[in-house]
Amino acid sequence: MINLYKPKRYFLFFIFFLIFGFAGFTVIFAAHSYERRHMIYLKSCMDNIKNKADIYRFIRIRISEVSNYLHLYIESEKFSEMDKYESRMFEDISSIDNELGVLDNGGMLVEKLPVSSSQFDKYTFDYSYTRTDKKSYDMRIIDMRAKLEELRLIVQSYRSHLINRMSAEKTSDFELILSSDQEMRVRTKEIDNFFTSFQMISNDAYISALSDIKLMNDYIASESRHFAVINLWLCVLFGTGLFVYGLLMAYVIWKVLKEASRARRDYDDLFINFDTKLKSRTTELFSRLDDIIISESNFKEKYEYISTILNSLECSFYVIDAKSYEIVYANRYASNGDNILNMTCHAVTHQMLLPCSGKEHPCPLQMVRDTRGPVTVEHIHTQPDGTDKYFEIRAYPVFNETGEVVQMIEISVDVSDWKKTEQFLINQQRSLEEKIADYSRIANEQSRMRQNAESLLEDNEKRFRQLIENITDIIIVLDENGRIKYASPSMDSVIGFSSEHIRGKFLEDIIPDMDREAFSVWIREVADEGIGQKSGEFRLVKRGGETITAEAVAVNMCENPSIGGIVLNIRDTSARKNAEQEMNKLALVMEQSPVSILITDTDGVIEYANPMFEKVTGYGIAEAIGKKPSILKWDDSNPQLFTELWQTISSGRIWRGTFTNKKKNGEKYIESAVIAPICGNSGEIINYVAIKEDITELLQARKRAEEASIAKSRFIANISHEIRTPLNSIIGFSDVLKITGLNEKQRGYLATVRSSAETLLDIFNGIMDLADVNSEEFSIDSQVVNVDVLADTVNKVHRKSAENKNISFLSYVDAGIPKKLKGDSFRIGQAASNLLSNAVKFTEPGGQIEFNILKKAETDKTVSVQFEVKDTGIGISQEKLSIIFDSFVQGDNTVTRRFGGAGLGLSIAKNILKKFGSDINVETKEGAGSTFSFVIEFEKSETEERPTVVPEVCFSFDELALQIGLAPNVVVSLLTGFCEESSSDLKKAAEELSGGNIRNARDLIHSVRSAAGNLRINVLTEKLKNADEFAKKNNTLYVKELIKEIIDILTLIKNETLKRGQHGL
Amino acid sequence: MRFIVFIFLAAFCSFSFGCSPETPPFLQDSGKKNILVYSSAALSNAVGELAAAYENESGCGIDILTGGSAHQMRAVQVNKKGDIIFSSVGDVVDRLRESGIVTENYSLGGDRLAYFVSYGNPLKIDGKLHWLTESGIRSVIGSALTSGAGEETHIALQKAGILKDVFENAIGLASDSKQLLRSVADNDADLAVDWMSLKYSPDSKGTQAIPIDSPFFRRVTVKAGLLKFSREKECAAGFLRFAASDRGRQVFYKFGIEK
Repeated sequence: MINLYKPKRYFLFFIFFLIFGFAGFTVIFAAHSYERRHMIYLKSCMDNIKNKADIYRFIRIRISEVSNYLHLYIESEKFSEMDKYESRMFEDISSIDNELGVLDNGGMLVEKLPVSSSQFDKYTFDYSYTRTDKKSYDMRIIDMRAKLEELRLIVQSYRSHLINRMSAEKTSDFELILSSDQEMRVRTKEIDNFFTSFQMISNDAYISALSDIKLMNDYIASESRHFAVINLWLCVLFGTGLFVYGLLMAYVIWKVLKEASRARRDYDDLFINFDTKLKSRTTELFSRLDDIIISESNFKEKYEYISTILNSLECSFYVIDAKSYEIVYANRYASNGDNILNMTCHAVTHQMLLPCSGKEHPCPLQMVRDTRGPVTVEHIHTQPDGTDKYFEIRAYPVFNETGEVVQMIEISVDVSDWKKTEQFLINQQRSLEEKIADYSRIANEQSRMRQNAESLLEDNEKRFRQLIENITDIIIVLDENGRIKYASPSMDSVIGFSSEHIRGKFLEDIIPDMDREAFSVWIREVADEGIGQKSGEFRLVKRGGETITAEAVAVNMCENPSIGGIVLNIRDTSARKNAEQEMNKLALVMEQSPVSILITDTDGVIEYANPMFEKVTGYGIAEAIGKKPSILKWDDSNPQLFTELWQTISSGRIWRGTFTNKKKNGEKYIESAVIAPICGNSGEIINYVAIKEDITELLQARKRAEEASIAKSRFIANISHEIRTPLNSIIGFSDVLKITGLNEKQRGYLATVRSSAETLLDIFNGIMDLADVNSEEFSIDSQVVNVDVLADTVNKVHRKSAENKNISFLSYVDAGIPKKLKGDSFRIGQAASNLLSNAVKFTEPGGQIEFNILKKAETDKTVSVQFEVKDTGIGISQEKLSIIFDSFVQGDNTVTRRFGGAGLGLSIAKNILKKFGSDINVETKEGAGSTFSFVIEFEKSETEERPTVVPEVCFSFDELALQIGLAPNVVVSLLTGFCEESSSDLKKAAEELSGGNIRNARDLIHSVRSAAGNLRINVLTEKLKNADEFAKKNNTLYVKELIKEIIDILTLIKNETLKRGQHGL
Repeated sequence: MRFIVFIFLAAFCSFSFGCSPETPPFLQDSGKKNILVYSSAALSNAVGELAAAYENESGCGIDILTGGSAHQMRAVQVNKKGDIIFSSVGDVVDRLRESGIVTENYSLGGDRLAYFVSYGNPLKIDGKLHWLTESGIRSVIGSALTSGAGEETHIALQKAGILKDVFENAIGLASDSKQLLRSVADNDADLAVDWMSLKYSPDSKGTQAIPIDSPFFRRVTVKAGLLKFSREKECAAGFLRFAASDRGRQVFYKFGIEK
């Protein structure tokens, strides 16, 4: 026989050989392709790293450039040079920033490199960089970015110092030149270390990038070698595999040929032995047939024996097929002589087409199949005569070899007689149970009805009791003797006696003596009149002795058997009585009020007016009622005012304001009015009330007071110069007198004169400042403020005074405050100066004063700066803190004697700061010192200060002569003298300014200004006014510039005047 | 036979899909969450020791960028990156907190400025301020622009009223406290004003600290803060709390930070 399985296996073996060969070639090709792509990628990585190194190289070069430019920038002598180097530095900084951005985030850097001397011949290189590891941080880039920001700050810092130095060189202010040079020297010490550190970071980054290049080169070489080895191994592996597989193939072919030869030999042998085998097999089959015939005869005998037994039974015996329900066997009792075999069991027993079903008539066969065990059921079989017969059926399963139920044995026994007896007994028991249930239902119904009736009765009683107990009126029942028979619980809350306590007592016991007799008469009348009710009013005494007013209603119910007495309903009317009294009081207030009161309805029609209204307006009350308040309206009143009034009060709000009204006689008057809506209980407006006061005289008095105040300020301002000049003369000549050979006594007198004059001048200056602050002309300028300069100016004045008193003076300016701010440095300096002056005054020798200027907050546009003056002086007690800011007041009267002063400093400072919207904060401890501070919000200055350009002045002698209004020859001599004297005065003023004697300089400028004003030289007036104002604000640099300009103009006027004089006018 | 075919197919698939020819070289993803910590130069030794301990315990990676306190603050403000800042000058952390950059901060102790001179104090310098203005003394102070020590020195000297004189006399302004210390150790300067805690640092070899005798030199709080830019908040907050714990503080005390 040929094996069909083996050729299939050989065929598959051959197919797998082909697949293996194909797979080998594919793997080698894939490996080669992978190597090529990997090497291309590594080359791109190499380019990336090289670009990174190039970018770091550019950064290094640019840092060096910035360093060089910064040194050139420091050496700049002109603004143009400064601007040039500054722009180059910022270009480089911006480029570095851009390059760091590419290194940090990846991207393309476009670099233009010059290829010839022409600035337009530039070759553009693109450096693309991709950052592969975005998860980690490149700390060198982070560090360099911060350095770059610091570099910007350094350049900005130099910028302000350079501008200061150049401005100082122009104005020959050597102090400022020295200060700027010193600042720049310090900065230069800083930047060397800074650039070294910056270069170190960039060098480190560059070297790291070069090291990466080397590493990548090594890596590429190593990868190349690695792939060569892999390719070799793959070729060897697959070559060897194919060779081995080929050997296997040869072996298989040899094996197939050998198998075919053996199969041929086996076929020949089988054909020769076939006849011999057939004969021996026939003999064996005949022998087995004889054995079967003998066995069948034995089985037949046994069947007949069992059949006889079953037919002798007196009950039905069936064997039924489990699938078809057909009777396979039935004994004689069951068949009753008929042939019932192959009929269904249900057709034989019930004459039905379908098998038995349901709980009452279950099919035993189905039950046997389900339970796979014997079952017993009862069936009722209806007989042909219509009677029912009861059968007990016992069923047993018959299993085949595999355990399946194939047949059922059924034995059916007639139990009809026994069933009839059992049914009779059950019917008797059911009848008895029904009768007992009927009796129980009737009893329950009667019980439920009784309970409902009792509950309803109880609820009604409870409701009435609660009603009586919760009413606020007192219910009392008196018996025929007048004793209290019943009192409701409200007796306790109203009178204070509990109902149990008062029961059995007389009601007269709680009625005061004055009402008792009247009550007795009243109650007797109730008792006598019989049916009907009667009301009365009397007082009752509460338990604590307090008397209340009560209203009572009495009903005689003696005839009613359930009550049997007089029922009194008593109500407390005290609150109502009090309210009536209050109403009367209010009515009197309205009548006697010193202000006019009007009540109108919602349309504005007057419903009520008090007598004062009549007195003020001249309209009678009866006359006014029914009219609208517009009868008082002045003809020129603003209609907008009344629109606003109605909008306000109709929306439920209160309106306050003033009216210009006219009286009945046409006289005008001004009223201050408050008009408010009156709302009802539900919140709707029901009336309006107006309370009005005639303020005509009050306004006139206020106007007079304000005019007097302005006149006072003007007077003080006007006489300031007149008083200060002689005082300065006294002080000046005292100094002159001192060196004229006086004796000791005279020197003592002179010292007293000088000290008194100085004190007087200080007090007067204080008064002047106070008047200045309070005057209408007070204004706040907005100029560029340098806080360092402000601090220096203020310190210069007070440091010396402090050191003279042996007081340590410390000053600190927060470095974080921008150097250029906008504000009024003079006014702020004035406020700080007053605080410092006080600190010096009230600090004992050996003490310490600190003047700190600190940054509090900063926004994009503003900076809040705190000025703090801290001293270790005498301090202020908590009681005196509230008065120290009042004018001419000091913390202690002994202070004035001990330290002197007029007590104006704090008042002036507070008033100045009030104009800035600021206030002085004080922290003090008596005996330990004080800290005064205030906060000013400055605007940030956008622009740098640059020297101002001096405008060219045009002068016309004729116009000037016309302005002066004198004869031309007089004008020539007058003008020449004026110009010479004024120039001399102004030069002195400039010298005084340089020496720090601002007050003297101001006096000189002021005298020139007065003379120029008298001569009406308009071309000078404005400049002299500015010089005077800025000298007052300590802006010496600008004043000096102005003085220079004014002297130039004076020279021009003088030359022009002389020229005209020489040419005969 | 089937087994051999399966092996070949598996090898082919893993080779084709498992390897990409464009995998960047040297990029080793260790699976650690990396955080960036800014540290003042004066605190770098303590922070380094803490970071090593925390890396072992938590599995987080920590990169430390050291420098002057003011420079570190600027690095945070400009780069808007990083997780934690440790500053010798607590004001730096407070300013960053006011501007909303620091979300959680801790005080770790205090420090104060001192003179650093060559070991043995050959010039017999004491704690008086006048040494800074002596013309024969080569003094170095920190730059207020980059260094926390420099900023504090400026404030104190300005209060004392000798800032300008000290500037005039100084031979240079160092960018951070390590550079200040190095200038004395390398004998480039006779006197440097630096943090007292650095006397416990290995970098202070060859130097000696002298307390400054002046009321203007105050005690400064050392603080640390969590930055709002933190990408690995769990690691960063964990490290910050670790540094502020008793164990962390012990490390700072070991390196000279006052309680």
